Amino acid sequence: MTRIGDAQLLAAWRDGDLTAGGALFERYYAAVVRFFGNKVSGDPADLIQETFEACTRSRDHVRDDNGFRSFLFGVAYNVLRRHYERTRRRDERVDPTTASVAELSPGPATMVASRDEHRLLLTALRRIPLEFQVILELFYWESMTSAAIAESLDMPHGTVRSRLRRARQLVEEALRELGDDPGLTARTLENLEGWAAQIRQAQGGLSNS
Amino acid sequence: MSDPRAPKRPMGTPPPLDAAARLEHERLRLELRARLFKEPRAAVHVGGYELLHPLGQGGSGSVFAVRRTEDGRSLALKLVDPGMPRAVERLRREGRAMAALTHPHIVEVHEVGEHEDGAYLVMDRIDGISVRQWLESPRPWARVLDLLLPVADGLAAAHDQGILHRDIKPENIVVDARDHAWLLDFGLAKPLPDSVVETTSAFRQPLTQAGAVLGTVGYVAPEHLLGDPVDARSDQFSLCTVLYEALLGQAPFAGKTAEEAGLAVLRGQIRPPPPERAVPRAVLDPVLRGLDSDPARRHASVAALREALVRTTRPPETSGRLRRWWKSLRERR
Repeated sequence: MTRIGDAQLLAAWRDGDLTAGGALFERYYAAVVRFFGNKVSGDPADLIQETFEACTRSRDHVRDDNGFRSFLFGVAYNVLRRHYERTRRRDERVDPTTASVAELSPGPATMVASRDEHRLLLTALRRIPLEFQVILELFYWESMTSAAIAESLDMPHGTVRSRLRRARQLVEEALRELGDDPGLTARTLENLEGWAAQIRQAQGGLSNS
Repeated sequence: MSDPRAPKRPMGTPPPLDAAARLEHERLRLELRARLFKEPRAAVHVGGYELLHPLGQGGSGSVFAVRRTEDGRSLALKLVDPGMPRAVERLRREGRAMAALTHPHIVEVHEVGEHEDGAYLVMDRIDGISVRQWLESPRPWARVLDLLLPVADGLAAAHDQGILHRDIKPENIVVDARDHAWLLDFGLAKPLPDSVVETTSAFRQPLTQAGAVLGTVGYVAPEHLLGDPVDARSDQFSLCTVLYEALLGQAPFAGKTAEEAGLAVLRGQIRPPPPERAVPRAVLDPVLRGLDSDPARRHASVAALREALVRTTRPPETSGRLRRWWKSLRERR
């Protein structure tokens, strides 16, 4: 069975084919759930809804027809930032390059992990600045290339690549600070080496999707 | 959930959602899809029940508002993730026992069933507030007893059937609009010390949220904390922590951390009553006896505890002046 591309579905949706829109929705719903799962405490349902509503409204503005996924995560990131700005005091701006989810949204995340290493890693991810967390998660979880992430976050490609590298260092630092079980920290760090290899691969400009 | 085309990544796989979160997302997905793409709304079902919306999350599972398909009746459904086998087993065993128990202060259990996403229990839906919320406005001690003694009666009835509650705390008692209290979540809580571990490290708590344990640790009996066998007297201890807190406005055992609170329980260090709260000794003493660290020194049963407290609520048969004094005492906070 051949998979119909995002671009084709998007074109059909723009022409009024709601089934095609539904198919795109199905394709990315789980990913959007994942996106918010490790970034907000409480119920992310409203944010998920807001993201898809905004995508529906602005579907004609996707710049590159091949980039629906980048467009979608860009929208999700904006929804997330607005959410934090709403929940903060009015005079206080949220700086995603310095503020972490742990500061912005303290409390249990909706994403639950069954393995200790995962749990530790999720907590570490929530401790690094939001922008770095988003870049890492899009790269690893959504298999996006650094170029696609750059398009998503409206950032120069080189910046995304250097932030990927920095994000990994920050996660490592957070893991060391968090771990009260040295064995667990070591195991999680070991797995991070796997991440590192992939990051190096991306630095070399290789595509991974 | 994951895209099969995605390359395998060692730590790159996001962790799976638990059963309740999956179902809730399924429901939201269908609702949103129906709205955005003008499709008829499809319902998510667990057994013969349509999920409506989540009601909350307890220590052992998530609770949803549901509609029974056969008659449209509004009920509550508790779902336990298959990844928690002991909680599933307990739900099966004790849920069936609960279904056989009828008491005006115990939420009625209608069915225990199995679903691919775990075991579930269907019970009456009680709209109300928890005792924790009920206590946000101070209540005279007599009203506290009026509210909670029937709950003690319900608990005693459950004990007669060999059912333990294991997690009595202010959050598990719901007060409806008629000031009628209901005991929830029977026998479903996981036994400690497992639940301490679960709460701090596994159950929806990031590693930094150890404070969340406090709620539970301050309410369970010392033998429960130590992992020794628990019995009806452990429930009695927990009920007395709730009574103490309701009567005096502060929990009997507390600490800045879960460990501190747990130590206070183990050492039997009860916080002294605040001076501004006037509760007669006759009311407080039976509660303190139920809080004894040694189960053997507590009341013989919850029924005996209840009886000791009921005696204090009967006006003494004396002169009118004394009765008036008694009445005024009952109205004091």
